[in-house]
Amino acid sequence: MTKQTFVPTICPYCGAGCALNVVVEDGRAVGIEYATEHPVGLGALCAKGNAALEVLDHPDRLTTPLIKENGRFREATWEEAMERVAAALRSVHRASGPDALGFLASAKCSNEENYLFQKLARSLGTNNVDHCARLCHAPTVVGLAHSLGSAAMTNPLPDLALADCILIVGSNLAANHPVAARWVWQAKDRGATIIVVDPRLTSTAWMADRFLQLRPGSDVALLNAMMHVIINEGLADRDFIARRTTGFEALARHVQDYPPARAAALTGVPEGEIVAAARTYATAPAAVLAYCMGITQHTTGSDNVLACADLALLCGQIGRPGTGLMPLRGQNNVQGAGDMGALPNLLPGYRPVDAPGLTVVEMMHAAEAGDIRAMYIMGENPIVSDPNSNQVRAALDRLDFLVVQDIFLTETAALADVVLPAAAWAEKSGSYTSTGRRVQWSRRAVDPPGQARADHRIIADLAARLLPDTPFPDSPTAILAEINRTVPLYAGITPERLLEAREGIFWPCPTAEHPGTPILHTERFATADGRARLEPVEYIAPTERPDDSYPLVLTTGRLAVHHNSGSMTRRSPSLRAQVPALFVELHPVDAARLGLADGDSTTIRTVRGETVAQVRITDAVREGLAFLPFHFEGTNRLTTDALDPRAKIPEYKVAACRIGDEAG
Amino acid sequence: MDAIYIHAERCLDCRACEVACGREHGASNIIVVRVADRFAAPLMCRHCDPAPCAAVCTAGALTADDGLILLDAGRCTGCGLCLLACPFGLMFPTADGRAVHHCDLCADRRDRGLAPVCVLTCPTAALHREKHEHFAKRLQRRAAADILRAQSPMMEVRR
Repeated sequence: MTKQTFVPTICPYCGAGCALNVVVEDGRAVGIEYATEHPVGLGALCAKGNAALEVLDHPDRLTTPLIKENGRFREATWEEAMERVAAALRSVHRASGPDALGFLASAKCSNEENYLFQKLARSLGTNNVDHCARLCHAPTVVGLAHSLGSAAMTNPLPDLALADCILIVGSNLAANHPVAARWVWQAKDRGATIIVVDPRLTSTAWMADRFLQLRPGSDVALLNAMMHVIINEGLADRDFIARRTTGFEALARHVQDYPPARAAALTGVPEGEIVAAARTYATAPAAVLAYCMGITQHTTGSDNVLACADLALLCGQIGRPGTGLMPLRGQNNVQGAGDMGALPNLLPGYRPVDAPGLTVVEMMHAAEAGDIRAMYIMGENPIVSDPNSNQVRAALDRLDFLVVQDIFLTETAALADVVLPAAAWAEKSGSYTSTGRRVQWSRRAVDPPGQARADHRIIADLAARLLPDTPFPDSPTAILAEINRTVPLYAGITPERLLEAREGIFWPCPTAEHPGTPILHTERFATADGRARLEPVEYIAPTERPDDSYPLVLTTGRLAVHHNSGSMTRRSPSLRAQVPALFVELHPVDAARLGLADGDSTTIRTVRGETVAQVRITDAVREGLAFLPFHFEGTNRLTTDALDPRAKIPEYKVAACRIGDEAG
Repeated sequence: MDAIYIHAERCLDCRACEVACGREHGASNIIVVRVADRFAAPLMCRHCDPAPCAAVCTAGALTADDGLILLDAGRCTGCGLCLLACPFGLMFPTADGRAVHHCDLCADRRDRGLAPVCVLTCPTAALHREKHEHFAKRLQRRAAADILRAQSPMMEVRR
């Protein structure tokens, strides 16, 4: 056997931040060895992590720059492609001003790459830079910044094991952050109570002691009613409230309008279940509230997050081990992309800008209106990820110029004028920040294929052409050193420390001697007065309700074996074999009424578009609810681009649909 | 006996084990079975003694060795009788249909001192490669805690 080396990397898929060792032989990635000492999951990897090598040596990998001519792509040299991109962006900039440019950064690229990308956009004079966090945890950024002064997950994932009660609201962590389930089970082994709140009986709910199957979009009613019970039964942590919060009186008055009976009518959850869940959460010595897209992907996403924070603060369940608020971030580096300021309203380190730019969906509307004329998209696939795909396609078609930088010719890249071939996760070095604020270094294991280049190198090259007088370091360690100087949260996370830190470093880390901060808000909150803000929120129904034409509620979500837009997982043979095609979950009663059998092909329609899917009959959904996973192109033709007014996140979780031949 | 023991209640049907085993061996020897959208269990060859598959094998390709059923792929003729004989359906045909494959507890990794990949990768630690008494001890401890809690509800029992 020839010599093998094991290269420590971080999994490119979800925000858990699992470590894995890539086995390299003769310059090729030939296997995986599990990092059994790594704290996130003791080396465990989900199906996606186990398949991560499959995107490296893949025949579909982009290996040369591509230029579109007469509607078809031809290969080009880097020099020609980069000059074409620079000339086009310069031209739009001159003719229409910097705000005619739009930049989509990548929650999958490293901190260094996202930092450089937003630096490029801002150096050109625009704040039109955003990324897919907009579609996912933007309400967390709005809501928790207001409540706690800092929008990040408060405790590390393994703290779940220390909880006596885990309240999982709108999160299917068994599918999307599977290693977190290890810690949930350890808590269960110690006698903890697990409460799951979800419209679907997911595999996460299999772990539940209590399962509250609520109607999509009714979370505020449920959470307010829980607070009603807790306050009125004297279960609130009055000492914590007095010492560490403001706004209790207004909240206590407000939730009097939400007795359990009212919430039961709005949510469909029995009163007794609401009361029991409230009592269990409030009386647990240590309780965690974990939440995800079921809370955020609504026009009331920000309100939903505020209600979650209110509940945790009311019960003093913040700032200690085994407690906290856990917004489970989806992408491997969505936390980092935000930290690095790839956001229209926030600079690196979350300092506000004076004149915020446009968000993801707003950019698509602006492109369709002709206000944005050119876009640079790095490692994102808005045709599949954004809601209302038909509108997105029209928007991107309207642009004068589109450049897409990616590892595969995605549905979005296919529309580009220039395509730039990028390196994949194991083909470049950089730092990535997991959902728990754990910053970790991932080492380059193999070379990218053909002429593909690391994203940081491509961005620095473009910057040199457009802004020759502005320094853009292009090595990951040099960029991280600049981040140390410009992002206080990362000031002490130096290359020297990080490359040796096998368990990463938690921000905030203000100095090179600081050990990092695994748990936030232990002494004070990050607000001006150091106190958390309790904020009353009113129940507001979702924007689109079923009617005679579209009588079923459609909700969307994820699967264990695919990831986000599927650009990587649908190309991975082992994962495609698990779930090769789009399916729709239907309750047996609805299926019978529609004359559909398991396995039938059917069409699902909303007012915006339609798609075909295979029927999967299950009682995991209630009657009247259909579920589509969004990993396949087609689902987001149906979803609405109605936005939360503050966070600008679309309401992916609720639409009105009709299925099959049911008369509209 | 040495085997892979399963805490099936911890299985969340994530398929990490199937993907890992498939990567290591070309095709997966472990299969996750989902029941009624409420439970799932990962299953692999139980290395029976006596083993029905070895009993019917016409080519002498399946032999018992130190508590494991080993497959000599070179001898396999693809007759498929073992596929019929296995009471659990845990012997599998190869993709080309010419031979069979099954779980050998990652025998090639054992020689290098490494645990089976399904055991290492399972996110909920549902799979354990160990002696039965260690597996049983966990179950006994949990049962004792449940009994004590039921009989003395005031007692703070930590497993």
